[in-house]
Amino acid sequence: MPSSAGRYSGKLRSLRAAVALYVVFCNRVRRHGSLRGMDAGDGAGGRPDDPAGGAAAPGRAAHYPAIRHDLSRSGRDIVGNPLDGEVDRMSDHGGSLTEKVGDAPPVYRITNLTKRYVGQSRAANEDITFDVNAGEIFGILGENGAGKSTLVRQMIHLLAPTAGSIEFLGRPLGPNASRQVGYLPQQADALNHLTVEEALYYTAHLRSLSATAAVEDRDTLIRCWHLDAIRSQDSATLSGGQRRLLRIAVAAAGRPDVLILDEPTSDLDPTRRRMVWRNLRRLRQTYGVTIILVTHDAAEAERVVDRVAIVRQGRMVAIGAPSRLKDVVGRVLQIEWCYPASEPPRLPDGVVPEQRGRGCWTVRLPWRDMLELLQQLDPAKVEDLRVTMPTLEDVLIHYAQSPPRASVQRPVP
Amino acid sequence: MPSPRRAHPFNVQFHDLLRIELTNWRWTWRAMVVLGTAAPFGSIVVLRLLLGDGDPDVLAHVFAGNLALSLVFDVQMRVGNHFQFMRFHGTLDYFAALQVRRSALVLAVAGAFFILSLPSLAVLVAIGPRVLELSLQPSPLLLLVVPLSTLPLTGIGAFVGIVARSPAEATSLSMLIAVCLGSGAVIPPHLLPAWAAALTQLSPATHAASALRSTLVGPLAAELWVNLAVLSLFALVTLWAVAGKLDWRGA
Repeated sequence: MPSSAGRYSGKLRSLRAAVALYVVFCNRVRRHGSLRGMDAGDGAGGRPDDPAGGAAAPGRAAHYPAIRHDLSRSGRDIVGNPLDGEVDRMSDHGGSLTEKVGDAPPVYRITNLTKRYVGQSRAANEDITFDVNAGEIFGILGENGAGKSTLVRQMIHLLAPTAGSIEFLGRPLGPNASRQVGYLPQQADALNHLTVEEALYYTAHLRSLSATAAVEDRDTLIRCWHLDAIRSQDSATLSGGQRRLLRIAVAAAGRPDVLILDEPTSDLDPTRRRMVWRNLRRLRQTYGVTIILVTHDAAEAERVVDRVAIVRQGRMVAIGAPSRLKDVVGRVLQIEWCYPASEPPRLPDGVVPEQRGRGCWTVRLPWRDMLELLQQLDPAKVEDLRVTMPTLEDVLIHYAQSPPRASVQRPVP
Repeated sequence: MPSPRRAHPFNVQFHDLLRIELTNWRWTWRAMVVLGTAAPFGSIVVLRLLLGDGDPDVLAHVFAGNLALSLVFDVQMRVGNHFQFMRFHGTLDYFAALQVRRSALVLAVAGAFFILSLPSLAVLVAIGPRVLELSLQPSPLLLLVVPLSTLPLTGIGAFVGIVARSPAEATSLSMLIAVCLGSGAVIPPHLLPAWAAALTQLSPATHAASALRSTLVGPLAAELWVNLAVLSLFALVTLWAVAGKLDWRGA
């Protein structure tokens, strides 16, 4: 059993570490405006023949001329950090509806999109307007039943809108345009009993690649997504994680310019999840592939997306960079600490914590007040301490608990 | 700005889709042959026992009717189940997102199930005449009759698969239709009440059985052309209805 002196020094070290982390955190946020990018260091250094990293393979690069053209006009830095692009107008929630990246047309321009199913009183999507720019990772976030899948099905030409329009690379969305979009459907059985390599080959071929190019693409995808061991296996017999990886690879088959991924990592273990995001970031960075991520997992979305649209009850209630959307719930820090229940700490005047169980409290404070609060805590008595910023999940919950409202509107040019 | 990708021509799409459909069944085709053969073979044996050394025309009717019954089980029911599987498991979305042509998919499924029905048909053609003590006089027109017999059954199966509101409903409906179509083809018309015999003329399986009887046992009569015309009409109407009804880009 550790001595009381040992416990004391341990807690002191923890508290010091927490404060030091906080200082680093503050500096970082001041520099970058958000926590995003802290995990972005894994985006480079792929194999030269790896479509998800490194230099382009000769045949493959030729399939992305347009996006590279867009990047050359807009500049990779802009795509890498869309916040630096020109912002037309901030929405009333702090997000931007249209963030122009140089002169490049948006990959998607969705205008006043409404979808009403026959026999249903409430519209599945109502008056939704937003752009998705070339090379960005764009999130569509919402609770189950919010209308995300309906929105996506219209974006890939599977559903006809009731009203409004969808433009893809400056042209009305049609069958040919949507052939440039790789889509990961939600259902796991869609590939029936095809083997891994057959699913990849046929998808690539039906997305208009030649037979030779489809074979090359299949082999590259198998290598990249670590599917070699199961390449001849019936896809119906794969594990949940293997099936999910295969479906992401199938979405990327045929070298699409845009990937639309519906809950891409929901069945994956942390290692594979990391691999998926690493590969997708590389696809984006190397080829400028635009990635649209549909999810209800705000924590995951926050780590990877450049911008996010929040959909609620069929309406788009907010759009913008995660860091900006967090302004909705205020630029405050949440501090949680556990202390001996019999000796609650003395706190600065005006700080009224909320008790969360015996001996644990939580309080939300402006940043400037945090150090003052920490100084009041006796390191010898602190049993646990956490400092967190509002997350995208808080934003999502904020909107989920707000009364329904009209969709955010694009400003009239 | 990238130029929109051009789709492969119809024949390339059809070829890919046919291979996809066939490879999907590579794991289970043996079971399909057994199941597709068992019921018609059992029916042949039972009717042989019931009819004894009956009229050769009746035995020929039993033989051809059971070939049609095999097609009903192998094609109509399986296509129905396959389409409902594709609807409810995202396969239709997968193909639709690839923007393949609806007609290519429907014809590929029809082609695949026609090919998959051939082993059962071959087994029955090999065994049935021995059990029924029939001598066969196959006509080259058989090459036209067999595919034409499967097409309307494909159309009916696919239609059931795409209009049913749930997998359970699709299965029940497929079974009900299979029994109705199959029984009309297997039982000789003179053993049925007049109204039932008249109703069987509305079934493509009856015309398929008649055409198979003419081209396998003979004689080739003018009725064969009527049968082929009716089968063609059924095929056109049902496949057209399927292509139109397929929820490819929902309203």
